Amino acid sequence: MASENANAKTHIIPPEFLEPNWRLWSFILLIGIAMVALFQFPMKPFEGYIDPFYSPTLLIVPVIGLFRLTCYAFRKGYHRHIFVHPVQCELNARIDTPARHYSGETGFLRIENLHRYFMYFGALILPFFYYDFYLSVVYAGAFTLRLGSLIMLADTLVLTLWVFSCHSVRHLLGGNVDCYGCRFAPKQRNGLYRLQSALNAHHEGFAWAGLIMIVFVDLYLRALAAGIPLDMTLLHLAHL
Amino acid sequence: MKRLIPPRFRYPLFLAGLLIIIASGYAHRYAGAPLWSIEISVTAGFLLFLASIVA
Repeated sequence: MASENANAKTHIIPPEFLEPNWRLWSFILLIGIAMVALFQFPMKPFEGYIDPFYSPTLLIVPVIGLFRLTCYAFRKGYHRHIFVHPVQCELNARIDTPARHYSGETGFLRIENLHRYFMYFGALILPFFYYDFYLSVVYAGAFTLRLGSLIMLADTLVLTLWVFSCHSVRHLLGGNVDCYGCRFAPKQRNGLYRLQSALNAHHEGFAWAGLIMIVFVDLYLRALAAGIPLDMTLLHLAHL
Repeated sequence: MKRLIPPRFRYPLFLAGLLIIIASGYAHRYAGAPLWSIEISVTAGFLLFLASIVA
């Protein structure tokens, strides 16, 4: 085990990045094509709806992308399905070879340690999504709840749950505390920590649901802008 | 929970789904593909993407 760790520390570029692995290079190509397409076909505000990829600006998408790529849930996904290494946590099931040890958060993958800072950025973006929902319901001059607004709200709630169920938030709320009794408001803080821990158990689900929802909202709004009649008004309160 | 899609097919489906969605956008913009065909291909791409995660 000691020699394995010593071997891992010699890598600046993890061995997974140096292999002729079609999965890795196709994924990098996919991200490149997707970014070019997002820049090439910007989605302007349409009938009060603002596409989440462009809120507040498309320029923050790479940072949000890094937040996703350093998230524990997605790390599990790309290690298993893109690097195909390690495919499980147990040492005897990782498909390690002498030339291909699991190097963990070393070398280039030290960036995974910066997840906490990307999380702060992700949390700062959330109010924009709530404001976009607000704009979509007051767009017609009165409170008008449309199907698109509901979908945007569902997306925003899932993204909020994803951000606040993050392991970094768990560390901030109580994971870094050795003695609650020695701190300010110990019962309240411990209660908050327990609540967040309950959310944290579902972090992976929120992460994938958030990814599905943000793609769905983008496609839904592009379909509306293209003239496909998918939207409907659910509630219109003209005299408020 | 029992998963329907074997792990080795999960990433290829994820990739195919997103590529179909992006390619449909380009086909509509540059090749003049009719909207009804784009609706079908984007829906198919999204369902592949969805299946790669949840199925």
